[in-house]
Amino acid sequence: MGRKSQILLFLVTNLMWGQPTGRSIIEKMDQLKQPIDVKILFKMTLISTKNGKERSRSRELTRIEKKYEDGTFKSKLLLRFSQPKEITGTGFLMWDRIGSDTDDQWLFIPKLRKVKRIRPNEKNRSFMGTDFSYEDLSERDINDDIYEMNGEEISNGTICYKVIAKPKKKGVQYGSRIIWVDKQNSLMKRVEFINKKGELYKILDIPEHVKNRDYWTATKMIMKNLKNNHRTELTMLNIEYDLGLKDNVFTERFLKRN
Amino acid sequence: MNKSLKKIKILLILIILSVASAQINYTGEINPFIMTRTADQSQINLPFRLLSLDVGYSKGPLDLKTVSALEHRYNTSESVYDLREIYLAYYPDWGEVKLGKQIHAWGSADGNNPTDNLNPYDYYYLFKLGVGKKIGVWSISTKLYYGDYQIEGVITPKYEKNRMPYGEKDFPLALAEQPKIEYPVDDELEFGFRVQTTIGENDLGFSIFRGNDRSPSLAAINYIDIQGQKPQMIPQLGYRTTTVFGLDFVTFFGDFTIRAEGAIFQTKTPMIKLNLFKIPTSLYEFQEEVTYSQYVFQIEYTTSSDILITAQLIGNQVGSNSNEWYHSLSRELIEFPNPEFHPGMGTPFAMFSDQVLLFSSSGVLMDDRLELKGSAMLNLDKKGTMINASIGYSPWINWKFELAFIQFSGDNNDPENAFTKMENFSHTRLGLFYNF
Repeated sequence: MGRKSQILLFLVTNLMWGQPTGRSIIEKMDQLKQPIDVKILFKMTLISTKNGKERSRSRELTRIEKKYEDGTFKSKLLLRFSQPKEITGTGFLMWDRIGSDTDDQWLFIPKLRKVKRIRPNEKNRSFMGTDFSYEDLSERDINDDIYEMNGEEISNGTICYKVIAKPKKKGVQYGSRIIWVDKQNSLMKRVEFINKKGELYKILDIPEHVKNRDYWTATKMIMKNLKNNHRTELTMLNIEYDLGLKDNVFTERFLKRN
Repeated sequence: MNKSLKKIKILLILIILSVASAQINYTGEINPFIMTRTADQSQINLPFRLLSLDVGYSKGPLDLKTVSALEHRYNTSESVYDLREIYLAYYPDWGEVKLGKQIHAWGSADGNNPTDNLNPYDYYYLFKLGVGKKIGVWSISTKLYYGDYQIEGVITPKYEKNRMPYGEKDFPLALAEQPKIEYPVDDELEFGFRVQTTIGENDLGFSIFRGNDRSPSLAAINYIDIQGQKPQMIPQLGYRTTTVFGLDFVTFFGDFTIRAEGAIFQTKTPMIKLNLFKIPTSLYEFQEEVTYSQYVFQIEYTTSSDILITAQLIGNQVGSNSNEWYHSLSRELIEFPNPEFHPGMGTPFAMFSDQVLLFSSSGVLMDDRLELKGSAMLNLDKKGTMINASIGYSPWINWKFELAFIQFSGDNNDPENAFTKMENFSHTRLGLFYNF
């Protein structure tokens, strides 16, 4: 073997071993330290564009979430609206079970004073008229997708790995997602949602993250729906970590207590 | 004197500290509107809730809740304050306990719940959504959450009847004047029990309730027969005692959600307590024992654009009916004609028909700025329809203008048909909502 061939082999081997795989990037992102529970007050702004003019409408809601490691649940989530005043107290509860294709979901409407169980396969539907679907609000299990590395690209001013994630099972609203992961801190910066026909239809941008204690938090998220020229912006107004929330916070009883 | 003053001061400081550490929240709605009769464009004058205010005070596992309203009517410019609910709620780890004047909500269907008889209805607000059409009752309720089970018990020591419009020219189903109740409820205590469980993706509930009818019924007749004059039959009213056995469930079938509930009502005229020394010789008591059932079968579907479409089949059926007339003093059975049976409990829509089909749909457009609602009720028993449509526009957050239209069509050959009577109530409503 000539010297040139030796150098080429060295470079190729090095590149092969040095380049992380799609799964390892997502694993690293998944392994970022996360709080056991979190309470976030955020503003949700729905923005539509017509004839070049933007019109917006805001809502304010609190997201309370707890992660589990008990083998039954992956997480439990409670959302409660505080603005507009007409829907103050409206609440949404979701239990994400490990190994289950569907979540348990309940909705509380104060005017009815009843907790209504919602059809679980509504996960692909829009969450309360926003560009987020119920599925977007729940965290996907790392083992639910197959990952493929797709190079590097700058997103939101950050050098990112680009990973293609394709769902292993059918019944997911999209055909694949392209995920941009910040090279330095392993933070998700952008997700492009591609439908089953191979068309890009939704883009999630996460331009801002802050580090509080040991935890990284996205302070702004923008979900753009390319089909209807509409977007939803989530802005964090207040965040609290590791409050030691009890299980009874994530029950119908607490959902009703507005 | 100084010591007492010191104690009062300490108490006041403790109260202030307690309030300061508690969380007070409130929401309210101001909703002025006018209703114009379709037939002649005249104004419909009925009381309405001009202002609604919910105030909550939370401290640890305790909540104090009040729901109040200011009811106003234009023609008399009268405003009446109504404390609709005031209760203390305690939320221990195992469940909840509530004490005070409160509105309960049982059953799985939306709006029409034959299994939910804990509260009387306010017929002035019959077309309101949810708890808006109910009247609070003083009660203690407790709910235990145990695994997939929810076990609930309610005790009501003080009886409350339906609020019916009397002498209201503008409400066609109203009686000319408030009937005199000769035999008020004797045993006011009412109680209910409900168990709900989750089996897979299905919710199943069973309930029992024992109480008194919310609407009066015939209890006796004072038969005055003076020679040379036409005999007079003066009806005397009371309230029947009713036991309700309810069953409700929620299940999912493909893209559809099915909510259904049914209730069997066993109603009985209670024994009239008469003053032994003053029993009129011409009094004839009416005793009836009726078993009837009501059901609601609801199918709902949400379109991809979040338009909720719901269909409800609401039914009312009389099963067994045994009744007899007898003389109060001699206890001798008498042959009098039997009056028509009217349920004194259950879903208010049963007063319209024995079987109705209700379609409704609602959706929002333009990021919640535009709200569209529509419903149609078809009488399957006799001729009759009700069509209701509304459009709400919210130019600014917490402000909404609403234009609604309601049209009743009955049967010209059947003046007693509830839909025929309601024809003159067809109207257009223009209102403003301000939420705070």
